Amino acid sequence: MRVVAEVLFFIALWVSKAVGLLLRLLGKNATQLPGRIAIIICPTFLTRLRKPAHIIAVTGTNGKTTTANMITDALVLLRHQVTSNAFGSNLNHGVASALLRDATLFGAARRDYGVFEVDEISVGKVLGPVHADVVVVTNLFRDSIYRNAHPGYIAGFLDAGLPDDATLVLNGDDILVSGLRPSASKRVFFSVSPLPGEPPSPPNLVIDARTCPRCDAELVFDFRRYHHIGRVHCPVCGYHSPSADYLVTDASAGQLTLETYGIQSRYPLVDAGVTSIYNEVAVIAGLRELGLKSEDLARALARVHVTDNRLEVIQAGGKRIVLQAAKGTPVAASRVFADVSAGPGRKAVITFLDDAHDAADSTENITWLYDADFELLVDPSIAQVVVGGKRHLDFALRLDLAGLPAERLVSVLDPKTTADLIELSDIDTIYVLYDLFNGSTAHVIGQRLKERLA
Amino acid sequence: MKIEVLYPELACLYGDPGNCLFLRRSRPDAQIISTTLGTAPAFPSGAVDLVILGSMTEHGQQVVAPELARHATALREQIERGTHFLFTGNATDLLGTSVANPQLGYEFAGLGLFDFTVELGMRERINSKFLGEIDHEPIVGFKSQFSHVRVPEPHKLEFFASTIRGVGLCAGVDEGVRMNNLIGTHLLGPLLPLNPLFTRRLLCEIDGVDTPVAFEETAVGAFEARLAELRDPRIWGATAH
Repeated sequence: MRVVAEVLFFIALWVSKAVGLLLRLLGKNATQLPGRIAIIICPTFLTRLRKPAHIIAVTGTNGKTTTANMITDALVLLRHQVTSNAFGSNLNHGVASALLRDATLFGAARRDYGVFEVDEISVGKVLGPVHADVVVVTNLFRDSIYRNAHPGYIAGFLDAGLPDDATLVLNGDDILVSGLRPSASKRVFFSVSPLPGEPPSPPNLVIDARTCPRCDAELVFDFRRYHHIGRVHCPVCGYHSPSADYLVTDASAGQLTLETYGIQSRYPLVDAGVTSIYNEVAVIAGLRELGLKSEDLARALARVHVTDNRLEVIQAGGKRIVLQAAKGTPVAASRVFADVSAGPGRKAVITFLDDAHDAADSTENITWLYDADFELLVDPSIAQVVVGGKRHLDFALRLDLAGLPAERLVSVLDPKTTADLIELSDIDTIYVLYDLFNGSTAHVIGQRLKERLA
Repeated sequence: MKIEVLYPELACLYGDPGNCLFLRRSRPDAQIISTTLGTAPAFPSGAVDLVILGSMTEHGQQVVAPELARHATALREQIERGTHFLFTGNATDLLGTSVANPQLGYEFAGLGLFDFTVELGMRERINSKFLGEIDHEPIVGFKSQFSHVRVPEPHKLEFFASTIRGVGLCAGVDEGVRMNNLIGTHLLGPLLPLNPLFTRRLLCEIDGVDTPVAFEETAVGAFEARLAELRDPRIWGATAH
C-alpha cells in the first residue's frame, strides 16, 4: 500500500511538473493547474512533498496579499531563497503549485523559506499537510455574502483549521481574531496604539463584534479605530482585548516604534496609512517569531516598497485623477470611502462598483450596499458623486438614503459616460472608484477625464 | 408611527438595517425605538405599530431566541391585536418550533408560532435570487442562508409570497410565513428598499396614509430594472437559483 502511494506521489510530481513547464512555455502562469493535477493524482501530495525548512502562512480578510508579499520581499532582501504563492491561488492547489515548482525531481525542497497566503476557508486544508512554523492572521471582516456569510462563520473555519503546534501571530485589536485557537501552544498579539490625529469612534455602520464572546453582554470599546478594530472590555465578565506582544507606540517621521516584550525598537515606516501600519507590524511580528533578528528586519524593511496595483494617480490640468479599485464588500468599500472623504481639497467621485460577472449574466445581490458607509460620501468636501453601471439606480437610492443632496448626485447607466458628467471647475481631485474586474473601464474614464482637463 | 427595532447590536447582518433606514426616510416623523439585549421591549405595551427583527449570526440566534421567548405571550397577544411585525432573514427561523445545528451539535426551541422546523446546514448555504408575488404584485429579493426549513405535510401555513422563481420557505412551497400582520421572510435585499411599492402598501396599512415612500422614483426605477432581469429566464441558468 505504501509503495503504491509512493509511486502515485512521484507520478503526480512528474506529471504536474511537466504540465507546469508546458504552461510556462505557452506563456501561462501555471499557478494553479499543476497543483490541482498533483492532488487529483495523489490526494496526499501536499503531505508527502518535502517543504522548505521554515514556513510562514498569512490569512485573514484584508491585507493578506500585501503582508505575505512584504514578508517574501524582506526574506529575499536578506538573501534567503523563498517559495511563495505570490502570483497564484491561495487555495491548496495554489500552494501545491508553488511548492512543486520549486521542488527537485525527487520532491525535495530547493528553497529554505516558504511564504504562503492562505484563503481563510482553506486554512485547515492547507495547514494540515503544510506544517507552518508561524501563522499570521490579519483581521476578520464582512466579505462576500454568498461565500463568507459573516466573520463569525469564517472565525469557525480558522478556529478549527489553525494548527496547535504553530506560533499564531494574531491581531490583538480585532476581538474576532484574538480569540482564535486558544489551545495553540503559542499565541502572540500585535496592536497599534491610538495615533495622533485619529478620529475617535468613526461612524461605521458595521461593527461586527459588539457582544462579549464569553458572556454575550454588550462590549465597551475603550478605543475604536474603525469598524470593530480597537480595544474592548466586557463590563460584566471582565473579558478584554489581549495585551500586545508587539505594540506600535508611534508611527511618524518615517519611523515605526515598536515595543516588544518590554524592549523598544525602531523600524523604517514603509507607509504611513493605518492599514499599512497593521500590515507592517504583522510582518515584523511574523518574521521575529520565525527567528529573524530585529536589526536584520529593519535593514530589509528600509528597502521594501509596497506597490498598490489597485491605486493609480494621474496628474492632469493641475488636478489629480485617482483610479482606485474598491472591492464590492462592505468594509473594503467603506475604507476607500473613508480615505476619499478624508482626502485633501475639493473632490468629485465617480463610482461604478457593479460586480462585473453578475452585471454580465445575472442580477447582483446588493445587500452589501446597506452595510457600506456611503454616508462618508456625503462629506461637504465632496462636491459631486456620479454613479454609473447596471445597478446605478440602486447606488443612487443608497446615496439618497445616506443623505447626499440631489444636486450633488448624478446617476447614469453607461459608466463610460460618467467622465463627461463631472463638473470639473473648483475640483482638486477626481476619484474613480471601480470594482476589481472593471479596471479597463476605469482607464477609459481616466483617459476621458485627462482629455477634458488637457 | 412608532417602530421598534429589536436587538440591533446582533440582528444587523446582510444589509437588513437598510429596512429601518428606508422606513425612517419614508416616515421622517416616526419614532424609532432600538431595544438592546437585556432591556424590556416596548411592543408588549401595545404602543408600537411595527416591530422589526433582522438577520443575525447563528450564535446570535441562540442568544435572541430565549430573550424573545420571555415575551412570547405578549408577542402572541400583539399578533392577535394586529400589530405589524417584520422578521427578515434568519430571524424567521425563530418563529418555527425548533432550530437545530447538527454540525455544531446544538438545538433550541423556537417561538412555536408556526409549524416548521429549521436545520442549519453550515456547509450547505442557500444562495438564491427570488421572484414572487403578493396579491398579484411582484416582489423581489435575495436569499443567503444556512437555514433549511422543513414543513410537515399537511400544514396550515399562510405564506408571505407566492414563489415564481427561486427558493421559497423550502423546496416546493411558497415564500415566508404570515399570521395576521406578522411577516416572516428569509428575503434579503434589504426587502423594503428593494420593494418600494410593497413598502408603500405596508406603511399605508399601518398608518392609513398612502403617500410616496422616500425617493420613490429612483427606488421604483431600481425595482423595475431588477424585476426585468428576474423575469428574463437567461439569468436563472440551468437551476432555479
